[in-house]
Amino acid sequence: MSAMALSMEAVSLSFGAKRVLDNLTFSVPRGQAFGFLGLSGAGKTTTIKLLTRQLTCDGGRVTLFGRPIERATAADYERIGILSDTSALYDRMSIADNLALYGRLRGASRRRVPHLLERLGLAGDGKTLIKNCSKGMRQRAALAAALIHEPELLFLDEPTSGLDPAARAEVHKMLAELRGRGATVFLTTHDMAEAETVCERVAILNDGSIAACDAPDALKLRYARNCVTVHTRTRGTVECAKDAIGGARIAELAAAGELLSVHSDEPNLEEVFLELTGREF
Amino acid sequence: MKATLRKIGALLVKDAVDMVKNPTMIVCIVMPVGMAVFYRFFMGEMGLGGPLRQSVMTDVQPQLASMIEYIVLSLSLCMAIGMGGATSLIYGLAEEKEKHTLRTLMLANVTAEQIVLARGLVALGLTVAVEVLCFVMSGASWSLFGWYILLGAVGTVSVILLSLVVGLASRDQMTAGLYSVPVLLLVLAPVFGGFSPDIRAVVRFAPTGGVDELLRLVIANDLTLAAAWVPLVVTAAWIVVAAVAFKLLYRRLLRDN
Repeated sequence: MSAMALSMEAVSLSFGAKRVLDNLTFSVPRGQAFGFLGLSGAGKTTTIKLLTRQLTCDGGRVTLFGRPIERATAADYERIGILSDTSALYDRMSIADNLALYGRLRGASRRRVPHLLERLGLAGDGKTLIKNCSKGMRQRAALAAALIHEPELLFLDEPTSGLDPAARAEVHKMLAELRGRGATVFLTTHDMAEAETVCERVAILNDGSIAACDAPDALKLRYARNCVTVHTRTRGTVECAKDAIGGARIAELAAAGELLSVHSDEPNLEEVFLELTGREF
Repeated sequence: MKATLRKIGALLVKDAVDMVKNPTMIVCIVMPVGMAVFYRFFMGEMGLGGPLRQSVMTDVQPQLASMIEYIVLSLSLCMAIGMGGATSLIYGLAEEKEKHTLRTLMLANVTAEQIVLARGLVALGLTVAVEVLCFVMSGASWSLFGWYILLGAVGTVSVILLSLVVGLASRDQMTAGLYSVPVLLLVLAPVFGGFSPDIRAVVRFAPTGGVDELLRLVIANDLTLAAAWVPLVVTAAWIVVAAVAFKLLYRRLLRDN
């Protein structure tokens, strides 16, 4: 059994003359939550489409559960759950009926429907027709349909867009539970705070290629400034280098009773993202 | 195999329930039945319930009686196939594409074959149900019932296959409206055969032309192998052509690139 849930190796894809993905290489071990971050049009959804066989690449190698994607079986796909940017349920059916349909299609237990309705805050709305649902309710219902069979590998394309903070927190909690059971999560999002909360590792996609791929904390450290900010009692704010001289300076301030606080000034993931993608606030 | 049957069963239930709730599908059912009722009760002496038929049935003009019976049953047969087999399928699939439910189903590991099989079976069931209603409402002789349903079911097969291709080729319901026009014209073509022998000579080669001709032969009590082989070949040829078109195109129509 491969240790990798999925991988891409030197994958490229063009739509006509436009190069959409260029030499994309990354892998996601089983049980990891992996964030795929990028600006709109960077190729995030296209990557999910390649990984779910909705598209075929021009070059490179894509694997799923250690198997080349061309040879992935129906049984492999039974282990996958997908919430895409266009996931949609049937308008003229209720939320519960839609979930029951996807439960039957996936061979899931009927008990999963009330359980998921409860978990996603839809317990009182099971009989509501999808056409009468708000955007947030539809998104939660679509997420429930993707989770109905307790997948081993979950592709989530902007799963919390349109959700209120409480629902978003509940989704994050569910994803943490899924990971606790050993599921792999492949998440695309614009929300850097969400990526930091949910993902153990993130890749930042820029113009179809990966600009950086690491744990969020490692990325923040990598792009941190090489000095710390020291707030003092009477000497204002002082910047000290992260070296022996800077350390001695901080020790000196502490000895003089001047030290109020030391801030490492690490960037947050959003600032790293903006730096890597060449965008500004 | 068990999983496949489970999925097809779930899709059949979903498609059947969705069809009943869909206003477009209600129109597909009501229109052919309405036409049968219209011809029976409101076309005066031409209708099967009219006084002309009552008189011709008393051995005065039995050929005219057959002709009237054929006109009504032919019209309702073509309408049932056109609305139940073609329109319901084209619009239904186009709606699934427009609202992305088709893509969502496929991402839930449901194959294209399972989706189209369920859709096709529901369309066939709907067409046969509409044919039964049309027949009952037309007031035609019950001795024709078995033939009418059999010919209707056979004539629906090629139309369903063609409609699956057209439905998958439609981006949305608006394009489905445009693309369904030629299919509907082809399916309804035999209805215009009564206008002139020249038109009849052409429309007998339409997808429903074969079964329509067979229906005419049955009603006129002229069904012989010699008379039936051309319409049988026409019907079989359309099924083969539609099956090949479907096989060649449906996978391509379901892909993104």
